[in-house]
Amino acid sequence: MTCMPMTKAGRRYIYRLAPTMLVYLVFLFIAQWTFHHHHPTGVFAYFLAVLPALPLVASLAVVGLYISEESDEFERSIIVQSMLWGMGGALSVSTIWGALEDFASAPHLSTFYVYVFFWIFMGISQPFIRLKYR
Amino acid sequence: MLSKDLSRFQRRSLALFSASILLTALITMFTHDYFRHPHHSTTGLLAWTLALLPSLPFLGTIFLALRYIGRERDEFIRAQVLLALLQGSFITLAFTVVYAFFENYLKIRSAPAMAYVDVFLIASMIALRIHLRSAQ
Repeated sequence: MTCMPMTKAGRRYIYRLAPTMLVYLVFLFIAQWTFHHHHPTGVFAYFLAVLPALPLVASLAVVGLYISEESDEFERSIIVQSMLWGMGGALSVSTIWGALEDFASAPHLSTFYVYVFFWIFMGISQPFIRLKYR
Repeated sequence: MLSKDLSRFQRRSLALFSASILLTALITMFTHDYFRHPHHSTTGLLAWTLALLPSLPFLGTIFLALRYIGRERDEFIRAQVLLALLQGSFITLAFTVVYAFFENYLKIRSAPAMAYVDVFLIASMIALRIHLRSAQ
């Protein structure tokens, strides 16, 4: 989504995503600090553990909103395709690594990396998809 | 979509999908069986190559899915499949993010990394079924 004239929906996407990431950092700090200093248990521990995940789930909803609001068919198609490549890439890496972990004693990779790989592959695929239409 | 109305291309794609999923299951069972044997090492190049085998048909499935989306001529079905895949992606990512924090803070058992594919496939299939049923 960089290096191109931004549509209205694109701007709204940025305006929504930035505060979501800020909330993520705040929630992550709260969870980290509380677990480190107070060692919570029970329902409160579950609530605290899920707290930083909420803004990340919200960031996915922000992308969903962008797709539904984007009136430029071409831009929407690029995002949808890059998301599918992102998901395909993330699942490929997790499947390959999962097999290595299960069978070849490779070290455990946190589940969080699926989310990280999704964004990395999504970002990498976008310029290539655009190139296809030139 | 699972009716007689399927086009030749849709039928072929469905057969290829089923074959690649079946192949993934068979190779996974073979690899499990191989590594269960006490004389078979779980380190070294051969072990890594064998461990990679089950992921190959899955990569083929991804390729098939992207090829299907690129070639499907029925705009309606294509839109429904795309929507279902996106919803499957959202559900999988939400699941992994929540699970990751539970894993990190509550020290619960790690989920097998190959299970995320199952979450994605099941979520996408349910979403597609719901879309097609509500469109009827």
